[in-house]
Amino acid sequence: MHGVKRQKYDAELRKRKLAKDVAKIENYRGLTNQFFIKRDSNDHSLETFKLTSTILNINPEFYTVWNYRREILLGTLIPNSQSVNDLFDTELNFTMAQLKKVPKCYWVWTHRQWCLETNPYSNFTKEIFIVNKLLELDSRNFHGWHYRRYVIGLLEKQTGKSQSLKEFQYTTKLINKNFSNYSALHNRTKLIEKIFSEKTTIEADNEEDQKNLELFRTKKHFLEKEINYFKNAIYTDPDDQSVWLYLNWLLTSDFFSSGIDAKEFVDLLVLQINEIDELNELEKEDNNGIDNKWCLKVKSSIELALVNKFSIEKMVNNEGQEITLKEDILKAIELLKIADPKRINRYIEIQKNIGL
Amino acid sequence: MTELAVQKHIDYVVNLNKHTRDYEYWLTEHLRLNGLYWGLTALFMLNAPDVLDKKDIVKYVLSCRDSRSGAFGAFPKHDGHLLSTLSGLQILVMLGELDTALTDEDKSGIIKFIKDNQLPDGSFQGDKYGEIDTRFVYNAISSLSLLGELTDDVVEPAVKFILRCQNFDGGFGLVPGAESHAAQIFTCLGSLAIADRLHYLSEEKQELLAWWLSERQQDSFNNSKEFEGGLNGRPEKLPDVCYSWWVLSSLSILKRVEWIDKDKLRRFILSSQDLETGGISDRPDNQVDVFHTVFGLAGLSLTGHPGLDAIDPVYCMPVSITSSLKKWKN
Ligand SMILES: [Zn+2]
Repeated sequence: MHGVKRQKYDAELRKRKLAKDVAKIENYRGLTNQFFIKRDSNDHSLETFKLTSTILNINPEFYTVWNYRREILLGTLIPNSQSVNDLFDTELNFTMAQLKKVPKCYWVWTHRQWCLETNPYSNFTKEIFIVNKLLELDSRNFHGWHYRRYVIGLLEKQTGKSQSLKEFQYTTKLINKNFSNYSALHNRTKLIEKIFSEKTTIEADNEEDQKNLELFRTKKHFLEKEINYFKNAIYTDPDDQSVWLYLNWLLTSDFFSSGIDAKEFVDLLVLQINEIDELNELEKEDNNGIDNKWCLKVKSSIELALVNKFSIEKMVNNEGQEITLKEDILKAIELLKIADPKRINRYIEIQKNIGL
Repeated sequence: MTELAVQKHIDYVVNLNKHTRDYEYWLTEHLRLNGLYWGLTALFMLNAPDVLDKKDIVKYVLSCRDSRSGAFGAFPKHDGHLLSTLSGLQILVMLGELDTALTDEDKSGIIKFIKDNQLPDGSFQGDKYGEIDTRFVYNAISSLSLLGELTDDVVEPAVKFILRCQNFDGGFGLVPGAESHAAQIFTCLGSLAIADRLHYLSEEKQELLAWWLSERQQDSFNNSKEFEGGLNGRPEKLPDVCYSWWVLSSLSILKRVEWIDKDKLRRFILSSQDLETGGISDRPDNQVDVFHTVFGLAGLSLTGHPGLDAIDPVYCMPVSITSSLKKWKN
């Protein structure tokens, strides 16, 4: 059970609860007994279908009942239906009623997927509209996001047209609303990789698409624009790990370093290290000389990439001085050992691996 | 620090099956076999493996066999599914009854069910109704290894599928494209570990993932010390006792348990105990359940808490049991 406050029953309250439960249990067990009798006799009647609705309304987690409900739909209801589309609309409404009660129930989402796949007249565009609504209620529900990618996949298959630019724009919209939406940032990484791989075949539908497509001209162009876009976020909340983890990916993953000239990429990393240093100085002024943990974490991660991937040993810092990267990493690591003691053993391991 | 209420937790688990007068007991039938596995594993860790009647348990497990699919359901008459099948097998293995309770024919039926649910891309569906999830890959790989039936022709495609589920942060989601989530990370790392394929992840990727996992440990929240040291499952989420298991087992598989503050985590888990009724909840002062009880204890065990039997981070079963598994066929 998640997020349910502990309840303490005294003897009297407990007695009253159990008394109330008697009738509920009798009703529920009566329904499930009836269900298994019908199922075991392969009864595909409308009456049994209604019985599954009654049970699932009480307990949407009862997967065996969902399973048999599909058997009835396939066995009699669909073949005998005047309008298959209406039938599935009712079914979609039924799953939505359950999702409102249990938005994290795997079985309900699975049934909804099955409906979309089984109904030959499914309207995927309308379904995306519904997913938008659901993600408005909880923009981190990973079932909702999973379902979204699934519906987009169906729509792309049906139309033969990539939705990637529009989905990229959707993540921009959510990030503008709340830049620490990690689910949106995650999806953005997937879409970026996808758009670069299918770039030559993507067509822009409108001006917004065209503007987005323009971003993907080259990896270097994209990276510079993207870092710029997120700069505001880290200045607004320098403790936000979501954005920092995303930036760390932009700056240390093989995906970008493999598509950009090595010299240009190194220059870009050096620039970013210096910018992070600058932000950290501002943070220190505001916080009695205490360093910002995430500035140090991501800075040292980029510096490690310079050392390990590009065999760079030295760089020039904001003051125009030449510094040794390994020494600078060790300096950050020493500070982190004090500022972030929960993870001290990680820092000790990094120290050991650098081995000066 | 609050002490571990060993006897209370034993009593709590033993009493679980006596709540038949509660409506909630009947509404959770679909999780009963899993619940029995959680309870039994908790009792093993609490060094009380014999307090439940072994014969009764075996009888119950066998009553959950779904004759039509050959697999275990969660409750008598419920449909067979990979989730409950693994629980059934784990219980029988822990009780040392796998070979006595199941005939060779029973086992072949179960193996067939598992293998039939592998799809061409290496993934597994939970049953014939088509839900795909890295949880089911773990269920399948773990089940086959408990039966001593792992083979490369099943493992290789499954591992390829898992690698496709890895993300920018080093974590894994429920299918390719899905966001990293600590519980899915456990199922993916666990599958790779059982299959002896952990080296398919580069050292760099393992380090990135271990970093992300270590960042799951939370500071105090809104100036309340309550959540200090607890682990969450994704960034910006509240800590929850069950992630003590999902995160720490994953770090343990990556050989980096030390990357979090074990002492602070212990405090968080121990403060989520119900000292009156026994049992552990997701967060302090919430309602206890057997799921958070077993994963809280398992988390404590991985931190080396004294008095708890060692748990295997890959199988979520006592090390004393898993150390003698055969795993591979021939
Ligand atoms: Zn939990």
